[in-house]
Amino acid sequence: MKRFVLLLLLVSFFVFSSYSSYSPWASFGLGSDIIFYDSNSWSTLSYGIEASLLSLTFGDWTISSPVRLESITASSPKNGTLTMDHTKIKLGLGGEYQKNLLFISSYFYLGFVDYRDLGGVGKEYALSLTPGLQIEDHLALLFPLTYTFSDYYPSFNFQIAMKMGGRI
Amino acid sequence: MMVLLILSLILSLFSCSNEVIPTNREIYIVTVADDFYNYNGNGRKLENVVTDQAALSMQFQTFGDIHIRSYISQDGKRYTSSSPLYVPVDKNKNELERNDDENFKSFMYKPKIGEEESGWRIYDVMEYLGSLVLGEDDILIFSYSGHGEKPSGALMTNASETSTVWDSISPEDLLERISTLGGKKLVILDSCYSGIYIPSSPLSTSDVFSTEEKEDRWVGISYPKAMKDALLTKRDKYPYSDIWILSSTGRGQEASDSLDGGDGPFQLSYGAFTYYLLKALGYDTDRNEAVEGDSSLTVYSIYSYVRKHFPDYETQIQTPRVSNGGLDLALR
Repeated sequence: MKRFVLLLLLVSFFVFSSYSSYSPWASFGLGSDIIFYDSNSWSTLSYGIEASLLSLTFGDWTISSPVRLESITASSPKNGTLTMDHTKIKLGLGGEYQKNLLFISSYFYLGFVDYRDLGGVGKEYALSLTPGLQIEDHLALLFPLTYTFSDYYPSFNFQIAMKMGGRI
Repeated sequence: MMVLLILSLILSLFSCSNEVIPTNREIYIVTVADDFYNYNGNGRKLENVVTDQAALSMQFQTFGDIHIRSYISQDGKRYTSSSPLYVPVDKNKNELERNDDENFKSFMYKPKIGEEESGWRIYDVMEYLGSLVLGEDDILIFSYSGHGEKPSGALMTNASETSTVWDSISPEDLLERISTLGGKKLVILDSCYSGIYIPSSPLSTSDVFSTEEKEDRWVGISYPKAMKDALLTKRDKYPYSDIWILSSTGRGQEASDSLDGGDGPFQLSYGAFTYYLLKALGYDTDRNEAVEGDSSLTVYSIYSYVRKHFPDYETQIQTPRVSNGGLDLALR
């Protein structure tokens, strides 16, 4: 059964590959995380890098499964409490549409959050919608908007990112 | 140019001020030290609990203007004080001139002239806690050194002459009383089975114990296990948004009244956990002196320090724990 599934996946990959082009990409972004906690909200700095080696383009559409590393700095609602510095690793699945200058993408992420001071891990899910400008063939300026459903602090993230790569 | 403008806008969203601590915050400290003195020598007397709370009191007082109430049970005498005085003594209870005298054995509570015993009981402590009125930004630090009941972790005080009967307060009752108070509350427990006081939370710990539910013997750290646990296990929300808890042990472990980790000349005078807790707070354990610090201090930074410096061989049988409510609490 396992061999059959593996064979099916390989055949699917080759079939898709013949109708698509391989388009790995990477991006770096810097932005603001607005944290929601206990009917309070405040902002903090976040930055991340993202890369997708699993990326196939069909015409104007691209399907990707990126991996994203993010770092969120500690921040405070100024009432004597503060969030912890934490880092995240997220696995995404989604797609992009790019035609001429227009770029738009949407991804779903499953993430693990490392709260190193506490020696533990949390889980989160995120949905992103990213409008952008395709500046050159392999360079795009993106404005990712992401909402994160977290065990601890749900957040809304706005970033500016540069994406490099795409169709080869 | 547009990119730079937008980046500036993003960075300007962050306050230029680094002030985390509200300016008008009041700090309330309640310390409880019960050495479980007994008359029949059945081996339950604790040697270092008064020293532990004495040192903690002194170090907490460096945080600024604080309101303190101390409950001390020392060699069969029970005192309550709002301005406790502790003196360094040698092993024969002779008062020393300096805290760092090489003959230093412990701190003793020194009653004021004419001061009588209050005969306090744990119910008096709960009543006092209930009388506190804390503002939204105020902090209460409740610190306990003494026995914890097996297996419930209930705080054990006021032992009878035979040490077979005592007063106790359960984790549920203590946390329920503390949860009724305003402000933010830090509970520090140096007692056996004190990990029981730590409620469940969404965090999946990387600590591995030989019996996970019981948290008895610490085996090591595994982040892959924590990630798998985070993905597959449904976890409860942390029930208190304003209570932080530091415990000296896991749920199924006993706390050591002292530990010779070779860390300093007076380490044997303090509880194993409280010794490293004091160091994390900035206390000078080589001179038995409180030190006023100016660097930031939070509950999770204290926990991180204690875990990092606690000897591995002791961590196996006594693993300090911390509550995981999501937000850290700034103490300084």
